[in-house]
Amino acid sequence: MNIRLNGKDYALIEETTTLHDLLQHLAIDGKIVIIEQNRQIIDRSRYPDTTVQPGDVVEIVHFVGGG
Amino acid sequence: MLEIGGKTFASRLLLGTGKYPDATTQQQAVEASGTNILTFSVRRLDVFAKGQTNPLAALDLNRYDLLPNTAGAKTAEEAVRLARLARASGMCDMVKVEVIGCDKTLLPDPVETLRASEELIKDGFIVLPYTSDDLLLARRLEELGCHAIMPAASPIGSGQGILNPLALSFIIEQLTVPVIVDAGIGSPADVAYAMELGADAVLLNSAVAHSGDPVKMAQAMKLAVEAGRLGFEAGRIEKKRYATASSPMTGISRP
Repeated sequence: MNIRLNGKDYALIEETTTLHDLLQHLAIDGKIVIIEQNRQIIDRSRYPDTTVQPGDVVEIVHFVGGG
Repeated sequence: MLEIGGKTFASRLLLGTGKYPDATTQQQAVEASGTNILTFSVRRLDVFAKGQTNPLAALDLNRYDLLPNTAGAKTAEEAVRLARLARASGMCDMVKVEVIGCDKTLLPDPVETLRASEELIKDGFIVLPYTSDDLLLARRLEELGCHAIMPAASPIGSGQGILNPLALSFIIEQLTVPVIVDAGIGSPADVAYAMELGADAVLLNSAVAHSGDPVKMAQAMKLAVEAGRLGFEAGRIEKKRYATASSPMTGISRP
């Protein structure tokens, strides 16, 4: 199953069914990140029950330095 | 005390993040500045690079109010999206609206800034737009309900200081909401000058982060903010064309 992740095609492994799984798989589940799925911002509390579908456009963003 | 959208802050210095030589210097400079408000940007996480450390990780973000910016946006829609993403972190409800209209000068697009600010106010944000030093635009932004206005002293990161003190002072005199001089500050003298003009606060990044000794410069900026503010509150003397003697002109002793 392929999704579009941060502007690139990304093949998900079978075990990844939710956004929470995706963060775990990417080893970024401990970081402060914000996820947008198909242009919808997903509330952090909903990561475990938000499923990832083929063709989803997922953006994972975080805070970086800025003025 | 500086008051923005119902929150009060002891420090009148807002500090940017990033651009520092390393995370430790940044952490020490932030500490030395005495700031209560740190600015950030929202960017894609490089999910494909493993084991990277975020330079912000050294900062104890719980000790500061976070002011994410919408840098990178060229339209109101892009700015609104970035602001909403930042708020979804659950860590902030303030936003610095920054919609750049020209890549070379990084001057803000007034129309898109106005549109984005309007939308974000409706959406319940505490809105601080980065703007030019145009008085009428500043007034329009205040009328929309913006919680502070942040006019530029000179182009972002240029270090040119305050190019048009007259325009800034018009804004400072006419607005009711706090005026935070943002962008272009180069030295502690620029900061003191902005505060003497009556600015409520100053926002800096490059002037500290790119200085020869960021920790020392952060402290210098802290003192400059305080000196300038005290000078403004005290009220400076009028300028006169000729000298006025400091010592009594009567009772001069002569042999």
